[in-house]
Amino acid sequence: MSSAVDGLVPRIEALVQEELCAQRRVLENLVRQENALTNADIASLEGALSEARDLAAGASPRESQRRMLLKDFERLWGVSAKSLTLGSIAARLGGSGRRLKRMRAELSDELREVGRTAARVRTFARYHQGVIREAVERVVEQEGGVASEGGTLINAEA
Amino acid sequence: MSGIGFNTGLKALLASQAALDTVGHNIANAGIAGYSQQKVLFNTSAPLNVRGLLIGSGVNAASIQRSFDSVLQGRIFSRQGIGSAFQARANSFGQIEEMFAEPNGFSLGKSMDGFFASASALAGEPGDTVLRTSMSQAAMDLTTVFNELASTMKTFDEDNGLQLKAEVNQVNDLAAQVAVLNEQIAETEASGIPANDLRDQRGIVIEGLSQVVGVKAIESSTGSVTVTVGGATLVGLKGAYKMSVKTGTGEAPKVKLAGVVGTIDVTGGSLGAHLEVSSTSLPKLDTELDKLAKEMIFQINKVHSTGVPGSGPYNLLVADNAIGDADGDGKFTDELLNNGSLPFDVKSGDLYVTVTETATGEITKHKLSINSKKTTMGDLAEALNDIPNMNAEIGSLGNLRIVSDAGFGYDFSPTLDTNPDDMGAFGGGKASLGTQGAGPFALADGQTLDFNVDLAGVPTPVSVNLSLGDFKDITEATAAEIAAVINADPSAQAAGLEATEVGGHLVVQTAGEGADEAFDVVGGAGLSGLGWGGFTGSTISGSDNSVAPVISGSFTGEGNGIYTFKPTGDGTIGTTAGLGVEVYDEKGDLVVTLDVGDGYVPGTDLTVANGVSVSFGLGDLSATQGDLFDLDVVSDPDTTDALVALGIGGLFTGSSAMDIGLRSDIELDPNMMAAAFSNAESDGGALLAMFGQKDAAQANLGGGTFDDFYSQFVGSVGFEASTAETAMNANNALLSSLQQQREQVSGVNLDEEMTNMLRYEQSYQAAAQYISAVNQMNDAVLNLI
Repeated sequence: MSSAVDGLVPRIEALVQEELCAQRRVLENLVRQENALTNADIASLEGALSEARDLAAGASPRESQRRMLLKDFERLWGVSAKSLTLGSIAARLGGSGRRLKRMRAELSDELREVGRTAARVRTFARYHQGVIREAVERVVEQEGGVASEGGTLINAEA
Repeated sequence: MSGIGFNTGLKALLASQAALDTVGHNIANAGIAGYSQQKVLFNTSAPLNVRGLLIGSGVNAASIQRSFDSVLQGRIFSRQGIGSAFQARANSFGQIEEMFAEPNGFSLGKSMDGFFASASALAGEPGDTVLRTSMSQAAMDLTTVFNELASTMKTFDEDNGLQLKAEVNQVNDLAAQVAVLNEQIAETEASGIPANDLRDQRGIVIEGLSQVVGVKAIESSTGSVTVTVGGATLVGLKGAYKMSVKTGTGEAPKVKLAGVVGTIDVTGGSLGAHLEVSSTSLPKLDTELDKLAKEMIFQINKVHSTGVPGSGPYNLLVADNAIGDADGDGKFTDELLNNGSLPFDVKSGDLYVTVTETATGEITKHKLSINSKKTTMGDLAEALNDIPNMNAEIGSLGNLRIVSDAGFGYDFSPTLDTNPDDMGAFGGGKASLGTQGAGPFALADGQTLDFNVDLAGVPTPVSVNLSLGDFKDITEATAAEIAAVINADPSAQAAGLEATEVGGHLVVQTAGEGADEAFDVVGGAGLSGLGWGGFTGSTISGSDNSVAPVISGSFTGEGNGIYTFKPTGDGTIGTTAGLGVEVYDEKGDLVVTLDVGDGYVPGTDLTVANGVSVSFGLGDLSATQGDLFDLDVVSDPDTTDALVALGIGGLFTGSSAMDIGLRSDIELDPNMMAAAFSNAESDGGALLAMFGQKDAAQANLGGGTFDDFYSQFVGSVGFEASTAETAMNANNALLSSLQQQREQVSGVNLDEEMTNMLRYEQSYQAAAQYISAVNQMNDAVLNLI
């Protein structure tokens, strides 16, 4: 293996590690959201959502780093960056790619868990949202307005 | 594992649904009085044990709890009871105040002023028929206002009684509702479900109950409340107990609860206030109004009954008030005047009766003594019957009826006897011998008084035996007792020798008048006891002239008394130098010495004292022979109040605000109204005395005038009304503060509920959006993998 490749391996491993940590944080956040929803604890949900905004904000820099590193692999191996994956990079690296291969598996598991949790949270949130909308519409209609037209939701006299 | 996940999610959804339903319930009931905000309480579900691992199973909506402060609610119940009581009290006194309000109410003050003003006007011209009619009308107006006020207050009391019954029905209705709700709450909560809405409903009913009756509510462990009123259970664990009220005229209303012995002391709520008004305030006002009317009747009648009507002395009077047959023996004659059946008390004292001979205007005054502990109705009738030309009888209903003989009239006025020397014992034409001193006289059994009367030139002996049995105590014989013995003696009667008592003195006279009349004082052991020992062998002669004193004026002094007139020596009126007449009062004190000697023109008025004047005719006076005459001077002809008590000659009839009236014969003929204290047409003395009562201090009215008492009376009504209103406002402020506190604890804030919902909605939306973002983000990472 060339010294140029040797320089890229730690970088890709660091990038995957960073993504793995990010996904773990997302998972933890989703679990908090799920708990907040199941406990109807709006304050916890709001706290979790606030943290989620920070987590989402971190995704973009990681994406940029990932794109730059794949370009470096493209230049080194003459293979299009779009066709490169962590699996193909680990295979090309041979023995040097074993650690990356293991990390890839961990990341894959983490993403699967994030996906499942996210699906549950989305279901809960959509359900709650539907009930709330229905309740708001009922109240707005009682107040003489039409929810879809944007009536006065707050009884200022109460 | 997926089963556990699904179960966890389902529980969460159900919990969330309960929370949202509760928010919706709060919003829907936000405007309903008594609704308490509800909140969902969550708890964590028991974890599942899966092959030794404890796996969380989500959350449950454990219960929906009312935001409720029972202590605060208790204070609100209490305040509502108090506030409602003040409100009812303020309303009641406001209505009473309107009755007395001047000038739109019954204007009792104005009527009293009108009555006294008309008395004052008539006093100036007592003969004016228009003014008489006007006063009669004013008196009638005054009685009408009293009657209407009393009647309106009675109606008010009756209405209050009906209100009490309606409120008791309301209490029973509300208590029954509480009992039903108690059952429903206990049943619901026994199954573990909090009966929040039923509790709110029950709270509203108890609030209503508290406003009517003022209650205390204590909750038991089963969720039932026990409601008590005045310490007795109204709603217990086994249901409601029926409340009842007994009302009746003149009786304080009584509230009872089924199963409770005795009455319930209800002080709170509108029922408590109406009970207080009926049992205390209204009777007190009635009493005060009656007191005013009764004192007005007493004071005005006391004056009026001793006056002389414009038409002259009475010929017939029937007492308005009948004596009661207190001992139930069917007779009135044996009833004490003071047996308690008359509306006013009879006191010990004197009653002066004046009898007037209509043709001549000649009057005679008679004093009747009344002992409040001894004098019976029969005694009074008999004493009146004993007065010449007067007849009295007790009617079948116990009313005294007094009639004068034809040609005579009578009254009870303080008028002075214009010709007080009826007997001619003061320089009269009769041969007359009087004692120097007033009795008693020390006589002895068996003594005699021996005279010889010249009957047309024939000496006729008279020997009067003084026997022990004719005297109460012969050693202290009174002039009246001796006179009775002499007048009863056949020899004295045959000789025409008469005896009389004048101011305690004994006077012996011939029946006829003139210089030819004479009697000799022969002897007898009794003469020395009378101080006549020095006259033994003397002849007492009559005269062709008669001094015949004439009294004029009105007595203006205080109290009742006697003026005794005695010559200072022997001589002829207007001729004998230094001849005078001494006037003594009843205590024996010299009042004045009148110069009737040389220079006095017979018939000239001489001032005695206190408005009394006297004139003397030509004649001879003899101090030696004990010439004298007495004059009753009277300021109060009825110190016994018997006339007022019996309702004889009064202006008003009745004894209370309800029955006060104008005497019917005065209503028909205003001339029957007594204006004077004498027979003089221009005399308005009685009217002035009645007018004087306007500003007189009335001891029975706390020492103030009628007007003072009435002003205080009206003022107290106004004070009660304003006090109740102030207390009500203060209580309302406190209640409002407590209700605000309750709103903070229990009330639904619609803004808050809506804001919560929007916050939930936004958060759920944000969560859903975040999931989309995560998915997008992770798609890129998945592509990399």
